[in-house]
Amino acid sequence: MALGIVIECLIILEIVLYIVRPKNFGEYKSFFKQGSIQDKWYVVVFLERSALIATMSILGSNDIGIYVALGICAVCLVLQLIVRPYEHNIRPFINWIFITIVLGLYMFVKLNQDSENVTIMTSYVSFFIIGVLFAALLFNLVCIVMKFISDCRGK
Amino acid sequence: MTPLRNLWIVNGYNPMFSDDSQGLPSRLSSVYYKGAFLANFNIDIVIVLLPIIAGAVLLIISKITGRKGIRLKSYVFFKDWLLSALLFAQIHLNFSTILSA
Repeated sequence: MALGIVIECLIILEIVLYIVRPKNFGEYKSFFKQGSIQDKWYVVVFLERSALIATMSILGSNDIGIYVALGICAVCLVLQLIVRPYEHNIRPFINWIFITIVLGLYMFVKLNQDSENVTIMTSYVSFFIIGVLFAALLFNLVCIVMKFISDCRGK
Repeated sequence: MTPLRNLWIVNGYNPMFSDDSQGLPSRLSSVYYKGAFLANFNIDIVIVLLPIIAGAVLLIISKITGRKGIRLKSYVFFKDWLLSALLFAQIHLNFSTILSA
């Protein structure tokens, strides 16, 4: 608990630094377009992440928590589609879709945990979640390798 | 598990954090998870402290030598790397909290 509070305070301090002294933040700045909203988009990402974490931690034991978390993901997806803050928007957008799918599967588990109706879906849902996470890992690896290759060609 | 806990530096179990195995949900205790396993935040402390220490060392060196390049590098550690480390630790802590709930 104490470690969590320290880490949250340090993150808030870093976000304040991000707004006030934006230099030396590397990809947290260079991945975003120039603009009044786009330039500080990682603040929005931080707020979304914090809202998701708070929802899952506080309301995680109730069914309502997962609905709220899915709602936050949907809002993130729509906001990204409207603002398009990144230089390349496809990767972050697909990553949010992965998060939404995992949360959707988690919701399915939560709603069916006391169900006596055993199906293939209820029995193997954990494998589906691992499959989605593996697909996310593979997708991001491909993106990183492609960016590395394009950077090398650019040089 | 008790003898292993004495080697907490290398195995990750940290007596600083609580080991409330009694309160664990049955889905975790039935697969022999312990409270100490879920409260294993040693790697988070290391990951968060590393950029702070590296940045501080570089800042001191830059103050002594007066080289601006090293000072800028220390800022990268304090900002870019530390933020990445903190976000990783935040997600890890959150997962542990959700699992323990």
